[in-house]
Amino acid sequence: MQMVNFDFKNEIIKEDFSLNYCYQCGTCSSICPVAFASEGEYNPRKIIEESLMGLKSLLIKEQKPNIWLCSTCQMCVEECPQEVFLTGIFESLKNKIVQTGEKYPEAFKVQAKAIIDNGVAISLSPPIIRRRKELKLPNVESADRIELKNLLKATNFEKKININGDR
Amino acid sequence: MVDEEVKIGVFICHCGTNIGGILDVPNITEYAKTLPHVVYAADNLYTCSEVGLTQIRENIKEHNLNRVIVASCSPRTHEPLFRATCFEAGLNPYLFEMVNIRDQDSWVHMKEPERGTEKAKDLIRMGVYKAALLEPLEKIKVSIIPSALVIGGGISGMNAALNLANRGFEVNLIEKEPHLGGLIRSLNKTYPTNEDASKLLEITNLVEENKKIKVFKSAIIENIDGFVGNYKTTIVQNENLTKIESGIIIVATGASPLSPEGYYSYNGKDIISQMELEHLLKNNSVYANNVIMIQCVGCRNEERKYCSNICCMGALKNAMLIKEKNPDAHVSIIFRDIQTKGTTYEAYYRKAREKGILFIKYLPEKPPVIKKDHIQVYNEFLNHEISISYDLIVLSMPLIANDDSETLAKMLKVPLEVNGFFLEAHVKLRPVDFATDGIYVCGSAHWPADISECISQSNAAASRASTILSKDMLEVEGSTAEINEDLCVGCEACIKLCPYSAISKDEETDTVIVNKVICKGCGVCGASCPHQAITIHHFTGDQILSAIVTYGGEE
Amino acid sequence: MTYKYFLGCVIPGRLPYLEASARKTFEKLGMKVGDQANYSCCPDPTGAGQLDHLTWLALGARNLCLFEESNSNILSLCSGCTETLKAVKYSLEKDNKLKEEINSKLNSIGKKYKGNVEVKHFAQVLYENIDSIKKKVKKPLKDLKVASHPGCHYLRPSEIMQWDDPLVPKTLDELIEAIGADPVDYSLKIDCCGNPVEKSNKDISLLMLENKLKSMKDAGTDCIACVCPACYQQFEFNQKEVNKNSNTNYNFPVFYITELIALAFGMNAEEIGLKYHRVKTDEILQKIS
Repeated sequence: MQMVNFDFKNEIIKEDFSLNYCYQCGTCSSICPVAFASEGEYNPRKIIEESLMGLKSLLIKEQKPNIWLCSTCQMCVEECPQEVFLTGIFESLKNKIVQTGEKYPEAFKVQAKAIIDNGVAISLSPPIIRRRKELKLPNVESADRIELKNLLKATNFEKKININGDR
Repeated sequence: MVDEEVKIGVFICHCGTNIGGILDVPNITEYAKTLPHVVYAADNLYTCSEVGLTQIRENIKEHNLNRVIVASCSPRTHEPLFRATCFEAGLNPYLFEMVNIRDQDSWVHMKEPERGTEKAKDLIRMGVYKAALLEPLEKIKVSIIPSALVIGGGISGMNAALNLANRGFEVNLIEKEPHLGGLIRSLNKTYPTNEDASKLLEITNLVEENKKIKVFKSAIIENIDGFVGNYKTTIVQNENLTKIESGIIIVATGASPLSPEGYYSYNGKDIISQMELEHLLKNNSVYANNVIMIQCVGCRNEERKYCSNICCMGALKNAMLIKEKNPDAHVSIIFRDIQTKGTTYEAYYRKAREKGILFIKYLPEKPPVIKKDHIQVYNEFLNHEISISYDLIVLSMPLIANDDSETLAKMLKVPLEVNGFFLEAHVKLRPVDFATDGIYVCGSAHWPADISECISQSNAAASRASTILSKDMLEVEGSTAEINEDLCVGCEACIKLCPYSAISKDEETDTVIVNKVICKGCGVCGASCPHQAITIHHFTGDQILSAIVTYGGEE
Repeated sequence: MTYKYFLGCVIPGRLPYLEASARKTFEKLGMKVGDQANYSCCPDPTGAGQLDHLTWLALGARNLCLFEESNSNILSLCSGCTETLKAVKYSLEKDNKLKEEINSKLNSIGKKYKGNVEVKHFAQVLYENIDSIKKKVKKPLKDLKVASHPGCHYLRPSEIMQWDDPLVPKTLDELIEAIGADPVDYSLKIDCCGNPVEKSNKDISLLMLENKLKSMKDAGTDCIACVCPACYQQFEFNQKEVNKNSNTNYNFPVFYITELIALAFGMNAEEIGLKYHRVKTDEILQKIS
């Protein structure tokens, strides 16, 4: 049995007020391509309903439905008749999952680590550098590491996302 | 007149190409000339045009016609025009007969014009045989008492009374309670404006002060008699009888809230009804921080299938009022379907969500269960149960028909629907009329209605009523039923079947009598009388049989 | 209006041949587009932002600053980068308090975002030059049936992107018409290719791709045209995976729309590095020669 938790609902509302406007018409889940492909395993309407009820442990701990399956295609945002910014709400929920130290897919960590280390999600490998030369493409000048490091320090990124898995 | 030689004129209409483009109209006209009693027959492009109507008038005079037949379109649209034309030429309008060779012939036989033409000949021959037996009839004139009776002094009745009084009519307004105001007296604020209910009750003063309105409070109806233009109602107040005469009656008796006793462990303390919450809000004495409202309690079920129409908006209103007073309060509405029709109410619902009111849908087969300090409810979208804490539960109860509505309906001889609410003449085309002339319905007597609906319906009823009150005399249909006293055995089958309650028992003779003012000549009684004791004028047995026999039937 | 390229991570780091076709197309159109040093990951709207919104805003704002400082606008070669940069700009414009908060972070690296930079997707710039594209076509791609895949972040959220119709897009099909090819109408045109879902569930990601491929096949397409490197990779590299999982035989050549335009402008396959394509393009080249 899940207990309705108004405090957690209000926490989400603080991040994105549009959650309040949902009246559960189901447009989002009916046009969601991930819901279609996953035969309902992923369901944006359910996540919104759980958010309205503030069902924290389902959303954050158990992650049912798996919020990480959202492709961020924004179809739900486009079609929602009540202008609920679903992907914004999902993003803040994922931020909460990550920043409370709960599990999240490894690929996100890998990308974050690449950005922390190199400033980019994908670095140039030797064969690519060769191909760039063949195609007469200019050199890519990478971002100033120290500058990035300082900025990420200012936003407290590494600590927030628990990159080393020590929490 | 009866002994006079029958002289029939037949006018056949092309209706542009509607008839003329399909049927062989000149051929039909020639045929008509050969029929018995027909002294004149002609065709024209549009019989309903001024040219066509003049032709009818002139030929009545020239050929001394004493029967006129127009073979054209539908009597529903054109019979009154042709009857009036005959009348202008000095002929009794009931000596006119109409044959429909368009809707029932050329339109349905577009692809077989020869057979259509033969059918037109049959139809016209039948018309001629019937017309030969037509008798002149007189329309009945009724005088009208130019005052109104409004039953019920709630918002609908008061508004209807004011409306009629402002048009200059005398109004008698009767209320069974000692006060005017009805259900509004129990309300705190009213949606969607959230105005104080007391503000709306200011109309009470306007009614009481209006010189044209006579208010009878604590009044019980003893008896209602009469018909359109001439209703006589007897009321009792403190054992005093008063007779009220009126030309029309408006039924505005409202409805009553269903008692919450026995629903969801109602206790009147921390489990109360929405009406009781109104009272608490009025006195500013809602202290709960966790309020849960449950919708559709005691309705939309097997016993009471209907939606009470006003409870969703009522709950939204009270939920928002609680939030306005105490923004930290947690207010939830457990609902089946939120019904907020139209742009204004839809916006009101959105505003309630904006204020953070939580909406939880429940299924009727899995209703919420009340525990000591929380409610458990199955969430269909999540497919599992959830629980919510409460310190106050509010039950939204429906409005139900008043327990005396059946008595009143019997006195008025008007029908009730299955839930005991008054049933209008036609749900779409005559929403505030009864089938019986001169009686109208508005407000929650008809169906749970909110205030704006009560206002528009009562204005509508008053407006419909004034179409009668504004006349000195009323002309009613001459084609009515007549009982042959010698043949009637007093079985009273006709009394039960008459849709207008026009037939009653004649206590002296033990037979039945027809009130010709109420009778609409529909023929139901005549068709059902086992002793053929009823004649429907203008559709007599002889007239109809004559038409059938000439078609090929047997006498 | 002067533009500088924002190449993002995927194109320069994995798909340099797409960059080559883009640079050559804009050159041919007579547009001078510069290069900007020092920018980082946009960051990925489907990745880093999901972990920490604030960091996503700060990194995005830093990138905007770099272009703002050099008085040029952004021409992005990737839909994801376009959305991030536009969304960051949108958020900071809408919420002054948020802008101040981000600027306080940027202050630690001596930067300040003012809001004087425009962000445009390369396909938008192409569409704005459609007349000049029509004039420069030397070898119209006659009878070539092309299924355009607009992808999500080229269109949505429309409130932020302010470009093509988010549900009935038309710009890419008009560009395809402009170079003499036939745009193919297919039922799942506006659906996601599935690429971002790969990070959490590859099977579902492939099912989404399969749904798209089936819809394209049913409509009788010869090839696919993309405007985003993430979508491009999904179509180009994962058709084989779909075939393996579902026993199908999809083998559509996948093009960046700039590659098709470059071919229509008369450039040859070698110039734009078509040999680096995973799904071979020979049949298409034959068809249009």
